[in-house]
Amino acid sequence: MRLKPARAVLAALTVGLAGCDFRAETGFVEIKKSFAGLAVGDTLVLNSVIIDLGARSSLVVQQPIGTASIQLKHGETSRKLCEFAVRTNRVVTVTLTLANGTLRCSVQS
Amino acid sequence: MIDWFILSQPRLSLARSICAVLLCTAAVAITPVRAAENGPSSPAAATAPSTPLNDFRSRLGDVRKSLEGVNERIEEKAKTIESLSRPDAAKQQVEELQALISQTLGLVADNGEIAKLGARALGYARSKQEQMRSDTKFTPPERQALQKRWDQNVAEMVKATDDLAKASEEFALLLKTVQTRGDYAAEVLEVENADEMVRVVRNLAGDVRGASEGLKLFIQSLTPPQS
Repeated sequence: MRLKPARAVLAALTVGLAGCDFRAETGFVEIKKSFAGLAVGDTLVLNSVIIDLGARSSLVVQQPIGTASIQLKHGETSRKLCEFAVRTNRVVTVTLTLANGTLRCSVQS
Repeated sequence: MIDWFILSQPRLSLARSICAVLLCTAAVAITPVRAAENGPSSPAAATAPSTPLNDFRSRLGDVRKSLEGVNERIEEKAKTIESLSRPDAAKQQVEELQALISQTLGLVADNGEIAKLGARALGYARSKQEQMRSDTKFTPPERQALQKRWDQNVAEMVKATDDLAKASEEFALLLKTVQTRGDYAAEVLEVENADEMVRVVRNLAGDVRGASEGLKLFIQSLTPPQS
């Protein structure tokens, strides 16, 4: 018995889709800061999302796996502070420190 | 009449469309009747109106329940890890534990759904607090009573959102402990000292138990704000 092409495609699709996990794999980024606040007009950006620590000294955000970066934005200018890998079900800790008026970033995964 | 029974394909589609429209119409027509049957005394009718505060309160209740469930599963996993003797099984259990903690951390993360609902609810409570301060519609005693309730509500909301932030920190710490021990065990396995690797993973069970006890106390203190 020959399987009709349409049925074969449908069967293949069913088998293929059954094996798919549509949830994206994620990890976590813990951002810590050891200074009071940013300079006026500065914003922290994780990938493309603005991070507002407010009065808090740390926060934890869920991120899709892959390479992520933290940038310091001031108006139209942007400076990359650090780049790191986000891995499945793992936390990467990013510590921001202020030394001689310059913001520095250290990564521990 | 006969024509109706020998429908061609396009006509069949048309018939199906008509049936679908009829079904939809019937469903729309039935809905108010069902709502009326529920009556004002039914639980559905008795539920509070949807406000950012109510949404947050009910979601926080759900989160607390799921945290309790996860904590039990973490304890079970710690028991399993203690009884392990094979390095491959130990490695798998550590990975499963990481996945379990991650799932929970995702719930309470600062960019998670519950944190967003919390921020919205706090914003709403603060706007109501402000509204009562500048109110001119109510009598002074009424205004004062409402102000007092909203002040209390804002304080409770701040506590609840702080608790959530603390939960995300605690789970991140737990996940870091597990991943570091898992990494060390993997290193040990790489230098082919399987017994040592199993010992490291067993010690992890103790750490997880300690964290779990701490989490249990924390979960008990996690209270949704009152209405």
